[in-house]
This record gives sequence, C-alpha cells and structure tokens, in this order.
Amino acid sequence: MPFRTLQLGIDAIQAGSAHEGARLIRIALKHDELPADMKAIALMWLAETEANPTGKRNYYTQAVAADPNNADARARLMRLMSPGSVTAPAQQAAATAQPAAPQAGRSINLAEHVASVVGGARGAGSGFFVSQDGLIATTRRVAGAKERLTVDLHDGRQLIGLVVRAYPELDLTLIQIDAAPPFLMPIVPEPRVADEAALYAFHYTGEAVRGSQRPTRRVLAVHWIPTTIKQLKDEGGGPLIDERGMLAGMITKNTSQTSEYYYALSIQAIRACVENYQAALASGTRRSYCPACGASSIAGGQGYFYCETCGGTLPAAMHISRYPIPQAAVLYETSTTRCTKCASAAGIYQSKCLRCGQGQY
Amino acid sequence: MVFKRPAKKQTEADLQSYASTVAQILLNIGIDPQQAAMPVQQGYGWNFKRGSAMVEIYIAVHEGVGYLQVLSPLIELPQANLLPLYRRLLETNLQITAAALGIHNDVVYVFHERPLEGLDSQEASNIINMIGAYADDLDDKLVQEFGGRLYGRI
Ligand SMILES: [Zn+2]
Repeated sequence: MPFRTLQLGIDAIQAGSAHEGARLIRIALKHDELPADMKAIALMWLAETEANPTGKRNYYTQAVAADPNNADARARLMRLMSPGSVTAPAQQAAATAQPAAPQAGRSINLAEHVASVVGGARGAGSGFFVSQDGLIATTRRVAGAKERLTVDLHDGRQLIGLVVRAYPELDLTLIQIDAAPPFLMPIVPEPRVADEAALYAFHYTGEAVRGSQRPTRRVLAVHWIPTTIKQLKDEGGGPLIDERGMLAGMITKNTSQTSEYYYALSIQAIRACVENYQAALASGTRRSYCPACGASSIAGGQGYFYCETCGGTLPAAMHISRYPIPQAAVLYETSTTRCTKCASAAGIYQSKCLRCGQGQY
Repeated sequence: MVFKRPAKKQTEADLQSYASTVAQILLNIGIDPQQAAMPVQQGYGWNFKRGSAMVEIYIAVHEGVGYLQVLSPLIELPQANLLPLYRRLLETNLQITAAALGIHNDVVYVFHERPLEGLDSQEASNIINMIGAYADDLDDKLVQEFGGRLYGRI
C-alpha cells in the first residue's frame, strides 16, 4: 500500500503536480512498512518539490538518516551545505555528468541515468532511463532496425539491450535492459519549454552541448522542441536538461527543411509512448517487435510471417519457408468494403480497388 | 552499404582507386569529397545535399565487382494507410527510368546502381542529378498524399 501511494506521488510530481505528489508521498511516509531505502527515496522526491533551501536540506538530512547508504542523498546534502553552491555557474557540466543546475539541490548524478547505445546502423548514440524497470529511450536513428544493441552504463556494466518498440514518426526507440536507475529523473512540469530557455543536450560521456529553445513562427506539433543546437558528439538520443536540472526531452538529429538546427522530442511525448507500450504489454495479447516499422505486431505474436502494420517479414519468419496462412488474412485486410469487381477486401483508394486497380462504380 | 554486402573481399587498393575516382567526380560537380565523406562499415560513402534532396553515394563491391550506388532517402513511412502508398510506389517504379524505388526498414528510397568500370564524371553527374531530381519531385508529393514525413526532417 505505501509503495503504491509512493509511486502515485512520484508519478504526480513527474506529471507536474508537485503539490499533489508531495501530499501522496507524505501519506506513504506515514506507513511503518516502508523500508528505509524507499523512505530515503521518498524524502528525496519531497525535496524535489521543496523550493525553500532550508526545507530541502531538512528532507535530505532525513533521507541520509533513513538510509545512510544512499550516496545520492548524501551528495546532494553535501552540495546544499557547501557555501556558494546555490549560485554555482551553469556551465561546469562536462566530465562530472552533473546537469548544469544553478540550484545545486536539484541536480542529480546524470551519469546514473544515461547510457551509451552501440551497435545501431550508424555510430554510437546516447540513451537514458524512462522507466524504473529498465526501459531506455534513444532515437530510431541510433537504433536503426536492430533488435539487439549493446548498452553501456556509467558503472562499466555492458548489457544487451532488447529493442522492444519504436515510434519512427517521433524518432523514438525503446530498449529494455536488465538494470534499473536509482530513480527517474525529475521532468519539466511545464507542457512546453519556454522560448529561449537554456537547454543542455547530454552525451553519454557526461559532456553537454549548451543551447536553448529556438523560438519559431512555424506551427509545430507540441512534441517537437526546436533548439539552437547544431552539433552533437554522437548520433543523438541523449537527455535534454533545463537550467533547473529537469528532463525536458531527448535530443535528435532531425532538422527542419530550411535550417540545420536540431529538434528534441519532448519528455511528455516519450512518456506517452512508454505508457502506450506498457499498456500493450499489460493487455496480455502476445506480440512481437517488428524491426522494420517499430510496431508490436500481433501477427508476430501469433506466429504469422508478416507485420500487420507495415507488411515487413518478421524476424522469426525471415529464414523459414513461408506460405499463405488463410486465418492470418483478417489481420492484413484493411477494409470492410469489398471490391465490386474482384471481391478483395484490400481496400478502395481514390475509387479504385487496391488489389485489381479497377474503378468502383 | 545498406542494400548489398560484398560477397568477396576486394583488395584495399582496388577500393581506394574506386574511391579516388568517385572523389574526383564529386570535385568535378562542385562537391568537397572530404566534407561529404561519411563513415561506413565497408567501402566508402559520401552524402550531401543536392537541392532539397539528400543524396548518398556508396562504393560497394559485390562479387569482386565495384559498383557505384547513388540513392536518396525520400520519406519515412506514415503510420497508417500503407497499402495505397505501396501500390503507388510500385506504379511509379514502373514509370521512372534508370532508377528504382524501394523500401528499406521504414524509409522509402530512390536508387540507382551501375558498375564503376567505364564511369565518367559526366555520367556520374547525370546520375546524381537524376536521383536528386526524382527525390525532389517525389518526396513532397508522397508526404502530401500519404502522410509520414520527409527523411530526417520535421
Ligand atoms: Zn512492421
């Protein structure tokens, strides 16, 4: 019960409701069953919601008292105690993997959240944790159509990452690894990054490229964040962090047609995709990943040969002899209307049957 | 190269001489080969913008024969309504000359390939212009009609 309440509280904070989140976390903390390490994490989240430095320090002190092994809580407390930390300059992001955060109390050890993703179609890229159970977000550009990639974590662990879902329209790929972040990075509460807000695109080495939100007159889907960043040290996929040390999105190498500036994908869009993937997983329908289009294919889960979304041959069917499977046909029929000439349910497009090409009159 | 893998390894010297031929051709058509060079697993690759189109050039060796491959990624496939798009691509494929339309993963390409032997820069320039022109013409039309987005663009 306290776990669930704690999770709801953290979710609320990540979704931008700091007040409601803090209320739920306080409720969770009242339960004696909450183990000491979880208590410390709960207190650290409370600290995230606290603007007052004294209040923040109190929460970290309590967190360290609850779990003396929590190095992160200890480090944050130290930073808050050290004089001048609150006005620390924003640029010393390099090497330490600390997000450039003028309010040091909100800074986190970014290295624990960022990974290097190797083995895609292009060079190495970056990725970062987007779920407590080991989902890593990177770009589709980095992952390409690979099913397996190598994910290197900051502590030297080299893990196999299973690509589980991609959203090519958002240039997003989700990779499952067998590792968990200490907690999820706090995300920006605002639905939209403010014009000209400073932003840092992080690379898996911990180095950051500084830029800002680039105001544009173009009507743009809210999930794309235009930036002033034009150069990255890798193929992208790293977290985009704001001045407060909060996660705003993921840097990509997509540009507009008229400029060379990169766009980032908003964290809200990434979260929606993570939830979409998790919901499909929880529905119980067997599915398999289609590397050609990134979908979770129901046809694949049934052992059929072709992805119902893109028509691509699924990996499990790639090197076997394939034949027509009548019961699978329903998955590939796109229309309820049949052609008046050939009776196919392939669909009618611009008054012509997609199978026989004959006009429908 | 994305589409074909060499079946037999050619000597590094052969590859290098093909590469310098292509580099010279690029120079002749006003492209700095060093700036356009891109890392590839095997062989050589270049990419550059030609009009609004992105053109990629590869030297690939297939069964001991060197090929020049010129291609342009057009669009990233839309999420839905793929069948009409696939049909359109096949129809267009039959209409265009000396180039092919194809899909690799979730990207539609226009593609041309020919053996490197006997290739002169005039012809190479023609091929690059042709692929660029097809790409320029088709990409916007396809996105407008079927959705999806231009390759790597927002
Ligand atoms: Zn598919």
